Amino acid sequence: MTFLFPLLLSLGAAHAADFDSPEAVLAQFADEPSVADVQRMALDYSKTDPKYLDSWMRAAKSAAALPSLSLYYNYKNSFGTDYGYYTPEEIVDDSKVDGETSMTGAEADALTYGPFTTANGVDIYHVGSVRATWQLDELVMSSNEIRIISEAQDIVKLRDKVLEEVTRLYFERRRLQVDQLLSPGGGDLKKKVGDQLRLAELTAELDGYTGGRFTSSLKQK
Amino acid sequence: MLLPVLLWSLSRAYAQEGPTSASVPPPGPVVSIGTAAAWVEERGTAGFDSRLASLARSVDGTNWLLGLEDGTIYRSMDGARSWSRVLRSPNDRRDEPDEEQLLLEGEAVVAEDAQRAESQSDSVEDQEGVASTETSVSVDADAEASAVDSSAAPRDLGAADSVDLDRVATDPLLKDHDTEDRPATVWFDPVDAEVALAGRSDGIWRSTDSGLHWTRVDSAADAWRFLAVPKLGIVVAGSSNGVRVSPDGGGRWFDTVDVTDGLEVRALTLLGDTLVAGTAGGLVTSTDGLRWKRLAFTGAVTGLLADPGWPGGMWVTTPGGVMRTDDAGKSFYTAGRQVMPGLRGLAPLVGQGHLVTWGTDGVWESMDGGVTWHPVYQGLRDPDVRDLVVVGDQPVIVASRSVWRLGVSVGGSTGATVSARGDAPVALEEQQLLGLLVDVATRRTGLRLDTLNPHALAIKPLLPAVHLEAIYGRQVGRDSQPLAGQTVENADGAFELRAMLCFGGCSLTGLLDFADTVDSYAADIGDYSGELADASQSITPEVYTLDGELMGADTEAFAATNTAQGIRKYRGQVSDQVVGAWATLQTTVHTPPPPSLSGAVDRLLDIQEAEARLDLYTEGAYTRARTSENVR
Repeated sequence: MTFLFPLLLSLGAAHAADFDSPEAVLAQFADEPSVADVQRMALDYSKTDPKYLDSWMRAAKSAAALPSLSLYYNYKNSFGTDYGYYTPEEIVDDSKVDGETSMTGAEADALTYGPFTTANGVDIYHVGSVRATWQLDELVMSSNEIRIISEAQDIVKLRDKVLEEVTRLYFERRRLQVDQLLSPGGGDLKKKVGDQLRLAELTAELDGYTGGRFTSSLKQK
Repeated sequence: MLLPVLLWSLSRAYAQEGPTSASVPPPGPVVSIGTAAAWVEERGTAGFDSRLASLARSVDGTNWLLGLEDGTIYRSMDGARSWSRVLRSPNDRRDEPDEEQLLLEGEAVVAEDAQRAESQSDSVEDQEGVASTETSVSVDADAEASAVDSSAAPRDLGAADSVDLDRVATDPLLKDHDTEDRPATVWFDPVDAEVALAGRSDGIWRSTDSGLHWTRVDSAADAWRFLAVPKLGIVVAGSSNGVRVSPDGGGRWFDTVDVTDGLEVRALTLLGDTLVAGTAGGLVTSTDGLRWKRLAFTGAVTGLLADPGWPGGMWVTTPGGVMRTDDAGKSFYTAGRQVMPGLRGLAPLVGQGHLVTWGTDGVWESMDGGVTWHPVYQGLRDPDVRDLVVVGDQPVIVASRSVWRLGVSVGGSTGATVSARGDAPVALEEQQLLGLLVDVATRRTGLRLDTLNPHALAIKPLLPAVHLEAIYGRQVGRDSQPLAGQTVENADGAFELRAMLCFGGCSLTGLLDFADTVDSYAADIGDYSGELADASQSITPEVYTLDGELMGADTEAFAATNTAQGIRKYRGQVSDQVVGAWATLQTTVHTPPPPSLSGAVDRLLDIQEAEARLDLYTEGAYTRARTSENVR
């Protein structure tokens, strides 16, 4: 509707004489979003709302109050078997009962020397720890906080720049609309087309800064 | 360097209970003087024939004196906005025609004085008021004439001290005074608002009527500084040739024969009960004003300020920067890293550790006892600041050509001091509203300087890291011996809590040496310790970029300084934007609407755009203020 509005005006829908005050002229655009509305749209779309900065600053400040936690667990299964070997002399000695041997050397030689399993062992270890570390110096001023402050400054600059541009575009567009409204028959066709293109361009630029919400808002109304 | 800073911080609590000098404002919240304000020139003061040199304000605030470089003295009774000449330059007097003419003029003045005595009911203030309102810079002929008239000299002086026309004509001191223009130093007694002193190339002058009439009371040339010492009942003057002492509030002066002879004494202060004088050759001190001895500091001194919050603490301005002593002059160190050339003086502002210094490069403010300084330059087109007087919480400065005060300039108006602060403005005057808007705009999240606390940075290295660790270990084992037919099982466990405070660079190895409780864990814990130690090493180096520069973890102070400078710079730009939008708004609002409808609509749109820009920078504070007032 708003796009067509100037064209309708150019057909002679309104004249300067129809308005008795500048407020009455601007009232013709009452169904369009205000500059404050457009600024809010740009603010939301650019994610430069001060609420984000506030939350960042709070987070940076409170982050140092939380400790850095380290959890550690170690499992270890340690096992082993002991083996033994025997010489024929040890076997003969072992077979002695009351000093009398029951086995000859030849018989002992015939026996295997091992290995014999002498011991089995298994050990299972579980070690766990929890470590908490507070950097007290970070509580008073952390490097993160300085970084956040620096970033916040950049965000403010960006926000101001975006809103300055949005405000400028908004009023340039409005002046063009007023010009079309008050001079519907003035100028040649080429100028009218040029104005109309410029109006579309300004609308598109506002859409660029607001993610299309500006045009959506016009359509809703 | 850090120790005095820490001690200074710790001393703040002490300072709030300790004695405070009369000249030092009481402790209070430290608010930067440059937060929402810009220097505004008192336009009426731009018409002086010579450059300005010194400024003084009476203790009751009703009278101001201004000394010029050629020795001329002006007086103001309206807050340093308009001035009347009360004492001509010494060189002017020499241009007078001859002795006979002088006598004739003197007779006329005597006659006028008699007439004036009869009409005493016409107050001096009234006469001054007329002179002041007619022009910003005027000549008070009566006052000038009486400056060389014995009958108009202060009555409380002895006859020998009065200066009459005959003496003027024959006084070799007047004839011998230097033909070169020398600046006049003006001073008001801190107790008696009527008494004023001025030091010029032709000697010391005294007034007992708040600077209206002057009498030359001493021949010592070039008295740079005056200081009252109530406890000793004396007034001390620092001149180009040492220290002079007056026992009667400046009526008579005596030279002191001591180490100060031949030295230019540029600064005087009281450090406790001790007098300290700053000279071109260092500091000298005295307990009685008569006998002086040198201190360790031998550099040129231009200004002194005793620290009320630290006994023995004192700041010293030099041509190259600010120095400080914490031990009454036994040792000195550099206060602040900023290069501040040509400093001339130092003064306290409201709030503990809130200082201002000035010189050839403008005005500098410190909010941390001199550790860091930042320039207060907004709007100051003439940075050659000669003198400064603090009124309330705002400074008034004398630059080389005119008087400036801190305020907000709109459409040529002057003297609007920003005092309103807060976020919910109601019923504000226009000027206050602008001050508020600038304040709100520059205190938005991201532009607040108080988030960068220099004290915190200073004490950071002194704070430890706290490590707490809980360790639990359990071991289960089984050993069997088949040949013997035996099986043995065992189980061991351990629980341990450890805490460590870690100052400076820390290693976790000591904390994690956990092999003493369960021997069999030694290898495991050793590995564990090694892993974590490696992990901690990988975390420690912090490197990031800030404003395009590579910053390390140990350069937080520099990062904070850079960030603060960036914030200050942008705050200045924001202030300019807000003031610009405000000026546009005011100009447009007060311009009659054009007759054509399109012109009227353009004007209305200009107003709306300016208002939208104000809201943009103030997060809607302008509209909120206007809504609450129902303005327009």
